[in-house]
Amino acid sequence: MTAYLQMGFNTENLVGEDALSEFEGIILSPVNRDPPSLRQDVPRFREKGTYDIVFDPQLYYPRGRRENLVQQPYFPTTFDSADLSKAEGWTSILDAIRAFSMELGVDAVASPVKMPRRWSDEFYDTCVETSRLLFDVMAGDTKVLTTCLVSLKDLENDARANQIGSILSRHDTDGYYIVLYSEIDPRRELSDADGLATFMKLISLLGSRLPVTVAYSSSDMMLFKAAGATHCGTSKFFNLRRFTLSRFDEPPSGGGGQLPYWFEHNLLGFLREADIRRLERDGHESLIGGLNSNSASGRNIREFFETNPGEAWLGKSWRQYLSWFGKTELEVESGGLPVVRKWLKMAEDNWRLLEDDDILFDEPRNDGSWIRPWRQALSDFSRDA
Amino acid sequence: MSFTTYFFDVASGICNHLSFTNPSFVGAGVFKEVYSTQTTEHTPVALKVFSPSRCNLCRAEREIESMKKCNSSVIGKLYDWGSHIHTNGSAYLYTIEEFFDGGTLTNKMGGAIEPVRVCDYGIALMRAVAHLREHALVHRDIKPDNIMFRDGEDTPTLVDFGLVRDLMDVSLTMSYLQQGPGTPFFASPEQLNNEKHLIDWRSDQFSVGIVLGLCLTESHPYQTPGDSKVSTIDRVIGKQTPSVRFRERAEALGCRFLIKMVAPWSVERFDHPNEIVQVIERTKKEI
Repeated sequence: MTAYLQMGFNTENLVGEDALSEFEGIILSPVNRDPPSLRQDVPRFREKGTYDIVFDPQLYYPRGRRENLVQQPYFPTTFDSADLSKAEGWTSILDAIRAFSMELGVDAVASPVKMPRRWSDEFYDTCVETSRLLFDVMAGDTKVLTTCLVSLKDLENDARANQIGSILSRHDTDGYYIVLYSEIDPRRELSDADGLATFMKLISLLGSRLPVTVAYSSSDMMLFKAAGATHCGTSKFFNLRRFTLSRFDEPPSGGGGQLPYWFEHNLLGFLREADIRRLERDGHESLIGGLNSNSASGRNIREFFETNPGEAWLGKSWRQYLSWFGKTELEVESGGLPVVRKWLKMAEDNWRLLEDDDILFDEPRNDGSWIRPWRQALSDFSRDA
Repeated sequence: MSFTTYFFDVASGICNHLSFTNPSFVGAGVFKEVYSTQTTEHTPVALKVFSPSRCNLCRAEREIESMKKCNSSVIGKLYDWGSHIHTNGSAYLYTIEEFFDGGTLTNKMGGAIEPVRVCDYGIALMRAVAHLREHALVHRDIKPDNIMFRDGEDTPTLVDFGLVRDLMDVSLTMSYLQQGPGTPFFASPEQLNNEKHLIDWRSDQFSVGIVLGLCLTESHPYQTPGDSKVSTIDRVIGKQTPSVRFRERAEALGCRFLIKMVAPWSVERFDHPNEIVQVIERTKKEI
């Protein structure tokens, strides 16, 4: 069990559900929950199961979108004006994070980072120094994860992964907590083959030393796992399956992306209800329900379509995706890179089949075009490895 | 090679003041001259006199402060230090350190050294690096001239902390410099490129790897046939991989660990000095 549930708006009710039985950890969201709620959440989650509970201070959230963050006891009133370019500037924040995380009783704390203006070596230096100081402050009472906020655009080549990895490996903590920042709409897939290959290399370099948790992931989890990630976090909301500033253009309270989607393993893509109907109608029903898409949650949706046509199924869609995620992460854990290579090839073949048959999905850009860059990234990564 | 001594009178004055025997000139570096003398208890010691004009006082103080932190049999000992006002009115910083009469590693490098001895040297040097790491120190100038032996012993000892970096203190190297401090032939890529964010104990690991590689194969691990010293250093600066010839030789001689020690990126090297010691101890048994 290796998947982590990234908490978001009204996500607590999913913890402990059968559909999510493969999820081993929970990443708390102080942006979405006020301090009293967070204090209540941890014991409730513990009652529901055995979870690794990670506290991410989330100080990298942009101003104006911090919601409950400003109420947290570690959030300083001078946060936007303080000089946090040097690790020493974080001292009082780290003390407060220690106090709050001990009060919450979490299993691990991710070191705080602030969104940089420039993705420079100085920034990564501050990341590693801050984590070192937090490690000292925590004094072994709770695990400390070195947070590494990386930009896909900064991962231009292999050498950059080596450079960042060399800086971040200067001090050991208990693991790495990686947030990949990209500038792509949350609903769209990442498709920068070079950037993804470099990101995989970075995961591999860090993962060879300490456990790596990749936060805010989606179906791209399979690439990250193939590269050696220990845990991948995901959420019911699209805008928590990727960390991007464009996510904040969506309505904050509902998490955005309020349409229900079916995640189809055979296409490694998200389908709308009309897309599923189209596949059934045009003789491609066999493409629906591949591997873990056909979990109990998946079967439940298809039965629901029969018995309640036209009715809302958003909650079911979250569970179907999360169930696919948890089960599939386990399969990559055991099957490794070859199984991901096989899935990607299969998905690309299936998209080509649909293209040849002129099957067009509702969303114009939902055409499987990200699969080729993913295959390229996997190929480049495995060649270098 | 003959040296011109500039501070013999100063050294004599210090010895006289401390009631030591008359000094004998041993050698000179850029910043200091080294003399041998004996204490009142007849213990041979090295007297190092820092040049007041050429020595960076901050660096000298850091060298002394760093040596004070160390207490290991594989690191040269600092017994005393002080400032001596010479008859010319100038103040001269000096240190009294352990004297090594077994010579340097350079003296022992007449030909290839057998793998088991290379392993022994590696274990001792990595223990020294491990000790420095515990104190957040990076030596930055590990080379055969700075590896010395006690009389009748074959255990190397690390000396000369003139370029030491204390990671807990502000860097004394200007960021605009293209190259950081170090002896280029033995320096890591991050030192040669003055990538200050990448400097840590793994830079010393690299230098130890280069020294051991030289002992084992008689050539720099990055040197390909026909390479000059300069082009070899260029390969390190460019973060190329160690030469095929070196990798093959290291494999054939059972010292594969050296390939990892001299990886161009620190993230690709060993994670902990003790891990290297364990690997070398295992290797030694297998050879």
